[in-house]
Amino acid sequence: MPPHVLSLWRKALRTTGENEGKALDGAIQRNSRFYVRWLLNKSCKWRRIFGSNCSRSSTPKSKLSLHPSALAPSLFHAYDLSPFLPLRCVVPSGGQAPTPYGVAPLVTYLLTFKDHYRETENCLASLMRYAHEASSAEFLLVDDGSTAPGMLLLEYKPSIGFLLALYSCPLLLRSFL
Amino acid sequence: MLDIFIFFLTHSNFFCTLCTFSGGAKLFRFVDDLKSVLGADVRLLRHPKSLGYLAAVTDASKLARGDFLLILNNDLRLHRYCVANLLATFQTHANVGLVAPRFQDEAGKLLESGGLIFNDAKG
Repeated sequence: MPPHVLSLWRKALRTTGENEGKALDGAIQRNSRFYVRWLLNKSCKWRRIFGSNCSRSSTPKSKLSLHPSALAPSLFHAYDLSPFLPLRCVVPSGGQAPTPYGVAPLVTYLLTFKDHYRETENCLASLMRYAHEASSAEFLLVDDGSTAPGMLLLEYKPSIGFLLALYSCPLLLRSFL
Repeated sequence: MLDIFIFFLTHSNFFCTLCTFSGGAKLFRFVDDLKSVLGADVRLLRHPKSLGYLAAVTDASKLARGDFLLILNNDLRLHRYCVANLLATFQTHANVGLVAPRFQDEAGKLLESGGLIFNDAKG
């Protein structure tokens, strides 16, 4: 289901009564599962979030020993390779799914950041990935005075020429981000 | 991939490059996706001026609705069952009010584990 339709449904959810709201909430969750499944086939970003959740919930117990994380756990602690593992199913659950209507969440994740957008995005993906471990969750992101969009001025004295400056910029920026 | 826009300004005796990168826009788009696609309860607060870590956390904690509050830095990654184990501590120990995880670096080396909080909230 497209995002704009989901947001319209959520607006309707706020205005309707409690019982109707619950029914709408369930319908949204059912439809979003199909949409997330379609997204996962398309984008690696969503694989980062659902990778471990899906492999754990769909792998039979008899095959757990064959899972790469069981064969080399130390390697998986150092380098997270689960985005490259095959996906079997997609079911957003717990804190990944919307909080039930009219109920306070169990856990509040409070994340503050300043300027380190890429790190924050990876951190948020990591939080969402294991959010199913809590029954319900809310995420509170605090941008503490970031300067967006980022800007960097480099000066070369004397001139190094157009081509050298062109190729040097991405290398320098990578170290900043 | 990074969204980088590079502008070149040439002067008579030196070369100047002005680089802008829209990492912030990418993060905010990601937050919008999480809200619209998953329906996850994600809220973003923006301070025009930096308050500092302590003031920002104290200010935002007043808006938290959850039974438990998990305070995080943006440079950490969770391991599997981390949140489940933290929550299980509250269920198994009735007199516990604060739980801290074990911090490791990327190579698995121990950085920090546990802490001590006194009666006057100093630690």
